[in-house]
Amino acid sequence: MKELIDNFKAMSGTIISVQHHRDEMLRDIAHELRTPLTNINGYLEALQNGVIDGDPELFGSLLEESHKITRMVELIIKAL
Amino acid sequence: MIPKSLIGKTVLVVEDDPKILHLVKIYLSREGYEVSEAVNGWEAKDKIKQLDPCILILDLMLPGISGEEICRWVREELKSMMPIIMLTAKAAEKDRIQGFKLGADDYVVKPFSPAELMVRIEAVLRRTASRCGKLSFTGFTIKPAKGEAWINGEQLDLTHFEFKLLHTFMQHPDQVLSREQILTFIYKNNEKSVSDRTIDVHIKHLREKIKGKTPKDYIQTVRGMGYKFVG
Repeated sequence: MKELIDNFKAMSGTIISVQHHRDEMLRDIAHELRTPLTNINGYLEALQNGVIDGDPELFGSLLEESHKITRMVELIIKAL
Repeated sequence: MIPKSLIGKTVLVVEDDPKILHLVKIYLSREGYEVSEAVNGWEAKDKIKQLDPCILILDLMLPGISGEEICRWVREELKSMMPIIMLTAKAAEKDRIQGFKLGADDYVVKPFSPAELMVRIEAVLRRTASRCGKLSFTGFTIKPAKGEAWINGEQLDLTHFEFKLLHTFMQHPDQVLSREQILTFIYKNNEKSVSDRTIDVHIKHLREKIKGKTPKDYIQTVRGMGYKFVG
């Protein structure tokens, strides 16, 4: 009986630590997504309002930012 | 558009992502601010000491020294009330509270709208405008409180009248000022009678002193109308 209780305690401890680890990872991901999103949102806003003009270089640079987001999404999928 | 009173105010942007930095600089320049940049914590400290900007836009996660540490350093060691807007990916409530506790005047979370950032800067400067009388245009800086004028790091040796003249011009960039207007700005109560000719002589001297430091023609003559300061 004691063994069962100990096992149960160990298991719940593991679950808590896994959960904690996952929360931390999600926080990191949310955080990492913010920089490319800032660039995509910000430059699109500037284009929309005519603050800047678009050219292939700019579009390429924004595509790079959206690739960063894509890579992060793939990492999340792998981690699941 | 930005109120005239904020044109020529100096802004230091501290941001390690080159694209975000570039975008913020585009918006700031277009509003008429004089913009400087730093891409890590060490450079940020150097530029703050060297430039003493009117406002600091500060990312928190920086190579070298963190934004939080820079904010603490500005408040506690420099004892400066320089307005600071934190611009950061740290979105949690506890981070925002921590930011204000460290002495931030505003806290903007990424992703942000650059247009919104501009009005936030304007709002912070409106509340704190009296703290920074300094004006700067393409490397030409005037510090009214200290009575100093600098061109690219070299100080100009000006008479009292030349200094007032220059300050008047820099408060009205890209505006044609008639001799009469200039006199009204300098002698608000008409306490002195100065002839147009005298103004011209002082402007000539001021121009020569500027010319000694830079080939750029800051003070331009507008025929039949007066003078104009071009930043």
